[in-house]
Amino acid sequence: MKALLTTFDLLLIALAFLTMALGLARRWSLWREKKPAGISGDWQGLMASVLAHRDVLKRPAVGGAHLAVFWGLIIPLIVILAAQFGFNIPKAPANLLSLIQDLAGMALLIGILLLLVRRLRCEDAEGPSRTLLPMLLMLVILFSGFLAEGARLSILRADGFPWPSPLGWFFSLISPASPLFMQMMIRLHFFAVLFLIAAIPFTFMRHAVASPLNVLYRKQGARAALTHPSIESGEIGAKTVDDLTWKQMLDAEACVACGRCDENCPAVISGKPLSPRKIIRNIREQMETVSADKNHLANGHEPPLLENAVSADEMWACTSCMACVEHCPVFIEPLDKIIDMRRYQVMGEARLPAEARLMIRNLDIYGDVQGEGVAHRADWAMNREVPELFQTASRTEDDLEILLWVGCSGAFHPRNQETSRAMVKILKAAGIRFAILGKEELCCGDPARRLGDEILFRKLARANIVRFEQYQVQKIVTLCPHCLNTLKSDYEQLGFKLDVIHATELVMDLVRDKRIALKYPVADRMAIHDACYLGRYNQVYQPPREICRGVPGTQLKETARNRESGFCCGGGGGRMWLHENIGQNINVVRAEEMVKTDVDLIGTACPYCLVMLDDGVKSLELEKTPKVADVIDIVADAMG
Amino acid sequence: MKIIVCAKQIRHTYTRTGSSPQSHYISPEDNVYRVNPHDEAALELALRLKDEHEDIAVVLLTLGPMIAEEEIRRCLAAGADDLYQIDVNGQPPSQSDAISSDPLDQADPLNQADPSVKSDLMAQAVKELKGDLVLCGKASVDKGSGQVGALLAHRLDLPFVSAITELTITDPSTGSTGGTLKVQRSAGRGVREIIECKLPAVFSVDLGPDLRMPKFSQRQWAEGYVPRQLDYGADVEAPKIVCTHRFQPRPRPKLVTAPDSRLNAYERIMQLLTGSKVEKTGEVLTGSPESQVEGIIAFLQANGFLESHSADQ
Repeated sequence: MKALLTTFDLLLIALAFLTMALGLARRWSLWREKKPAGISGDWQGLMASVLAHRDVLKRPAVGGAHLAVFWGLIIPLIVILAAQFGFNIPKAPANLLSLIQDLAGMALLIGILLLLVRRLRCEDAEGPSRTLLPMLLMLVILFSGFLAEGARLSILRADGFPWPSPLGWFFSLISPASPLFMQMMIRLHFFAVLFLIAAIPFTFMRHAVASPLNVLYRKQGARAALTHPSIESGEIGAKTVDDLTWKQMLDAEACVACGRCDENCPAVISGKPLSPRKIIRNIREQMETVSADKNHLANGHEPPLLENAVSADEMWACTSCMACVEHCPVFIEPLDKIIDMRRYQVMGEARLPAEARLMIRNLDIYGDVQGEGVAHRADWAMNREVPELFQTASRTEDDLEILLWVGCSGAFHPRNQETSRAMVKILKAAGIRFAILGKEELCCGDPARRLGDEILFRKLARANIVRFEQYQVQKIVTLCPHCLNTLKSDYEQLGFKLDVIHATELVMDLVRDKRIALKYPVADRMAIHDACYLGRYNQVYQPPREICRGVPGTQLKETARNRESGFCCGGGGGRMWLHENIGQNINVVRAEEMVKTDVDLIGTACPYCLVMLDDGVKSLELEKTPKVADVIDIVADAMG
Repeated sequence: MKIIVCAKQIRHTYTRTGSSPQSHYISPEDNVYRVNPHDEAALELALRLKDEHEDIAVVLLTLGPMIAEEEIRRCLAAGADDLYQIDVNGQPPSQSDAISSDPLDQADPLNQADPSVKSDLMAQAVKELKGDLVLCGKASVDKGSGQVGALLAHRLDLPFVSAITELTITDPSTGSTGGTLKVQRSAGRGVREIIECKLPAVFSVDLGPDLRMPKFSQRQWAEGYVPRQLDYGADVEAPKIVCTHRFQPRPRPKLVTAPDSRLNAYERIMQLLTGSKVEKTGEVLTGSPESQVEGIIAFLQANGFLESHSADQ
């Protein structure tokens, strides 16, 4: 099979690689010369993701097929490249190499057939056509290679079964013992490989370059962090694709539309028009339009508006649950693009959905989502001897262990006020020196930020940061995962780093250290609903579960979708304040799923989830409605 | 056509959570500084006219110090073209003592100029700015007299319609003949009136449309905008009425016909018992009966319920 290369062949190879390079350079220009994103490469993550397919293998079947195709292409490529140097290899390793080569080919065959069948059965109209050309090319490469090998074996007519090439032997049964046929097959094989290489930038195979690049430049630091536009210099979100950073464009370039985002998106599942995959595809289409239209743009043509491709219903349907980000095998984030689009709609065009305007206005004037005003922020703690920071202003350094960040829900929503009081009870029982900000606390700004009003978010955040600095706050415990994520990750973008943990993390430690005793059972069977901002965003999966396992006489069950795959309650991303007119209600979908687990108590650690799920289970009108409670409430109840 | 929208910057006391009787139980955080919501509704009506017709200029007119500057700039950013501020410093105050130079004191409804003085200043401004239509809020939520619009119309000798909720131009011609407007007025209890009126005119606006959100470009423009000053110096009438005292409502138990059934038993009972949303903390006196009596008398004296000599006897 070893064919020494002629000059003509070298020319062809050079041509193929030149075509690939030029094609890639053209695609490159779609995204490379754009707004900076300020990120650096992550080589370790790249190795794990590309060589071991760590994230692709989260779907074992299709991921395995992809792994087989990947190595089935890479191994023979390396072997053939090495063969061109004509090393003198002893017989045994050469045979082994040949066997590996054959096995790789077999893996490629199986993988490609699996993927092909899956593609052809796919219901998406353009699904099969997009990937058919590269797949057929690979099949041509495969069969021509094996037929050449088969022909070689039939020419040699070796005795017995040729162990180094079992599949070649099989093909030798059907291929003629003709050197001409063998040469033809080798040429076909060679041309098909070159064609595939040259076709990389122009077909679906582009992902072989773009996706590893995207993995290399994956977002570091806080998970699914939003972009941090410089409002002062007029960056107010994404009006056109030109307002996206190069990383966001590389995201679009790296997408192969595998659809794992859609499979996990609560908006898609509940029948909303939003599809994270379509958002990414829309962005790439517009990138291509802008790139093809460069001369027109120079003559004063405006680039197409993103809102022409992505409707308002789509961008406002996102609950910012991060499921799409979590499940993307190559770390594409539709989420930050959706929020960027919202930002432009809200700040640039003042098109905030009408039902959310009152909340945003209240946030602006009164500093909380309910519009009750800061004067009422400590009402839940009245006459309950909850220390407020301004009262303990003269404290010494070690007086205060933690600042309890109550949040708008905990301070104003009657249901969540119970949770705040329960937390106070726990902290007092454990003897922790804590304080609340009381009337000096403002909303953390999460609803404003996720709804796209970045200006308002900054205003609230700066006011809060001033308080933290004034009292030299060291450690914050939040009751709400949204506050947790905002104080921990979003405030870091504003240059303020704090040690922030969620209440369940603290309580887990207290239970572990036996500083509080869980004495009384609260339910027979219970399940935990993972809050998106606690689980996926901040990787706190274990504490709520461990706490609930510590409650005597309570069996902890898991729901169908949990942890990384946990299903959103429908309240995040500002959806709490928006109407849900299209499709099913997300909270009802989740509630149906939760009651199937046959539990009588649903525990969650998020005030939004609590309200949404409680509404959900009640609207199911079951004979026996499971109770929904915050994990903190459960702990307080179990303490007696 | 020029529409003048009168916008009042107010200190809105939304609750009383303080503990000191001298301050009427109002603590600083019980206040928010904002533009009177009725005036915001008036601005929105004006902006809707501006959306539909060309050649309409919307001018904001505000009286007194900029106590809610951020909010008035937000109004400007929502789509107004200009902002004029009338200086009231040096005006005879409604109270005997002079107006404090502290703008926060001037925000106190008790220290505000009387409606006739306000309307005089505003009438001069409207004449100077040559407004064709003047819109103002039905009443302000801090003072609530509801007189200024009517007095302004009287001083300008213009037709006046109160509490309008909709405003359309039926004949957009301007000039000496004047255009015609059709307004919808809320006559209370859900009764509506449709009224036709010739320009120029003065309308006061009831709550209804919410003021639109400002766009970023306008917001930036409004941030750098320098309000134009109008000063009428001593050229103003003396106040006709003087407000001497202003009492805050005493907390009374709210009448609850049926407790909210969604609440739990504890909260239902609390709702029946207290009625009021905010729990007040009193001071518990301890010690001998004599010292407790002394404590009560001291409290009553300190808060002006008792003249000190009567306690001595």
